[in-house]
Amino acid sequence: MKEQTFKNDTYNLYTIKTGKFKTGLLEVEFYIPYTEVRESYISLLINMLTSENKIYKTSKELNKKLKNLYNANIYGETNRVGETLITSIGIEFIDLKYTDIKIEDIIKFLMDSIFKPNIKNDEFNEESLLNNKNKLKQDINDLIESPKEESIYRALNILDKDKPFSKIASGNINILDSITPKKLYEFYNWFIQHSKKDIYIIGDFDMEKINTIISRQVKFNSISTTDYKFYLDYIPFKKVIKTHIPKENVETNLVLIYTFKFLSDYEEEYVFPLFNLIFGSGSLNSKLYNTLRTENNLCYNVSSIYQRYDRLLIVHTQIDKNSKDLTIKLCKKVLLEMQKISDKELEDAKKMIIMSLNLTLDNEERLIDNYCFKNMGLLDNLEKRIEIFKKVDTKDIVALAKKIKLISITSLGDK
Amino acid sequence: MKAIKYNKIPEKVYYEKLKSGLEVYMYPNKKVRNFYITYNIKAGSTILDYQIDKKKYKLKPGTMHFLEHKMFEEEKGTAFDYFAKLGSSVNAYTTSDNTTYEVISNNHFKENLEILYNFISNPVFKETSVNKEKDIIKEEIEMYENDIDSKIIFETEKMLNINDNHKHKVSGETEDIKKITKDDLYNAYDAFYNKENSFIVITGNFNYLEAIGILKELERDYKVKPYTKPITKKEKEPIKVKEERKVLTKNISTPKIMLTYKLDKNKFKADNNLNIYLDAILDINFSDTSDFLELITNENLIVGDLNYNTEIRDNYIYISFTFDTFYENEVIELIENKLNNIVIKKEDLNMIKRGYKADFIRSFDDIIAINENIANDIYASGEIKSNIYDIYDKLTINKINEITKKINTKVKTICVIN
Repeated sequence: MKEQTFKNDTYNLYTIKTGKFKTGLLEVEFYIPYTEVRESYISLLINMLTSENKIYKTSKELNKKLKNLYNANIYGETNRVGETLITSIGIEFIDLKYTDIKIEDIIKFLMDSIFKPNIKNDEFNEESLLNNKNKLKQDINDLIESPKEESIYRALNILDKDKPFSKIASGNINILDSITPKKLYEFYNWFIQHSKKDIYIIGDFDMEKINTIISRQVKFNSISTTDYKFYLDYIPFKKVIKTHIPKENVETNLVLIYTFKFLSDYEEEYVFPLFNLIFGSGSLNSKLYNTLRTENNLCYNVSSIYQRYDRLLIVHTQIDKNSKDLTIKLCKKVLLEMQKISDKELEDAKKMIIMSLNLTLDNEERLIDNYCFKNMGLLDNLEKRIEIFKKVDTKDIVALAKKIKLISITSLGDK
Repeated sequence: MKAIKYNKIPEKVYYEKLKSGLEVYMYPNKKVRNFYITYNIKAGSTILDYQIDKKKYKLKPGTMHFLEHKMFEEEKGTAFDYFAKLGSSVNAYTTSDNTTYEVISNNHFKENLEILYNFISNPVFKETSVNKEKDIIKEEIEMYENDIDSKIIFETEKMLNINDNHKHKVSGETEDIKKITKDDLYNAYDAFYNKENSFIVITGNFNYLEAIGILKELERDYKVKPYTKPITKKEKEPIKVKEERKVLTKNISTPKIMLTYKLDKNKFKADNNLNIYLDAILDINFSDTSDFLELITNENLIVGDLNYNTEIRDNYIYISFTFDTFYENEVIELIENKLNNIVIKKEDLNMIKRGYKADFIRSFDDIIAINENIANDIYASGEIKSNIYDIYDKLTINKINEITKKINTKVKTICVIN
């Protein structure tokens, strides 16, 4: 696998040449500073750009073209990293040696989707806009109607309703309702003009040739000078917020949110992922799983999520309403036990995390994500990460465990 | 050892049958870092009555799923502990027709394969831990009851099936679980977990000769005992439904509908590729390249996606549609009108064929997807569909037309959650 960077006037092209896969992936990344309004606009915009364009004017026509490109898959997604929105618009396609199509066709298809939106009189198509708004609203409703997702969303909202982590990534229904075809086109122009852009490609190609083809198709004419912020501020330690949200016919969903004191880059990138594996995210053998499920039969599943860039740790489980107090008590006990983990527990977690990193090496999408985060200065390269993970000590985990504090307990259910 | 070559694609699967009767399918891929092993049992939750040598047995609903939960139990601790030491990820799942144990890792291939083989070969069920597990499974049942997408499927199965055991949840109900004993688990294990009723699939970065060597060594002292495969009792399922319409209230923003048609399997000519044809018919008529989806989306008759599925079961075939809508009657009328008047154009069929072939090639990149493809072939027909590329190539309009004529919308269920 060979990584290479091609610097162009308005974007960089990052390539990974490999014959490992029977598919290729081409992705354009856009970075803009987060606001709640932009998050809704960008959700709607990427749905519009990936469902139709000036050449394939309806979703049906565009999907037929994709089928004829041997089931190529166009996708768009936005991830918030701290206070930055990173939007990826990409295309996954089968190794062209199995087809009668050329790489130029694939590149053109993606670039047309980005640079030739279906615009008439400076407006997006109204009917498509409405359809895509409805789809997003349904996504938002689906999320709120899932007890697990709703409980986490409500818990984050109670913690701080103004922080980006308490907003739904698909958008805000009121903001979506306010978007007109014209306003969206204005946003599109702003987005193309003001975002930072990078392009990534992975596959078995002559990358010099790819750079030439892409540079002919790409029509960016600006460079972003924005200083992107990838972390939210730490949440100060305060008294635990306890909330119960009654809901009929639903088992109790319990959400515990933790924050932490100032962590070093090393702790954030290496110690915390290992801590979290041992604590609650690692397979069916984590401390939380063993304590709540195996020893006390309290739940079917329990998981902990490390939101590195939001500086939060979230635990979720679903339990009988009568088990709430015991579950909270046991979660607190498990956190204390993290201050005396054994070498064996840490070694098992290291093996697990190395296995997970090796899985990344078998997946094109994750390889590009990793490359992207490395370019943002947020992750080391995979081989280096594996070596550093191997060196993490139990003392590091204990020191980290002492910096973590429970700040919120939310339960939803048992009306 | 046999090498099974795929037509038109330079890929092959190695196959060997061990002396225990356990079959092993291996797709090595040195380009990837990881390997994925599945141990597959040809038995799932729908087995509730069976007979061995004239002796009849009954299982409570949820027994096979309960068994899968308890298989990880060891004399001391659980199999999870051993896999954790290797840095491997292990899990298992039960479906209505089969049970799968899976391990993914990139190191200690021999140990992973040995532990997987050994814990499935040596069950340890203790009364106390069997009883403890009941609370955990109760929570699992509650979790899926709270999930709207799962709930609508459970209810549809209850409405659709009169005798067929798909009417029961894979997990069973809490009341069923309470009655399951250690002996039930041993009975089910003895009947269905025999090596002759199982197979292993290994995909990814490993040496297939080493894999077979490890398994043969594990079976070195294996005493071959005659195995009588249980005769599973399957009641004939009539082509009618238990309940045509049901409405459940969950206070959701847009009503969710699951519409399911029950078709008489006997009306369709026996054909190993019937499932592929049915998929093609649905993809051409209801996917994102169809006029139908364009119409109902542009008319705002549905909110979000239209999902569809088809499955061939012992006595019948079902075709189902799931969607969110405020216009239930209009959408159902349009679906029925479409199903009763299907016309397929050659260009659409060619487009679909191209996609299927590409997806098949793609699957070789993914050690989980190719493992599933192999396992599904074995479950379906007992052999790998090595000519699948040709099958896709040879799908014909005539055959599709012949099948579409048999599709009707007379027997159906409508489950609504609002």
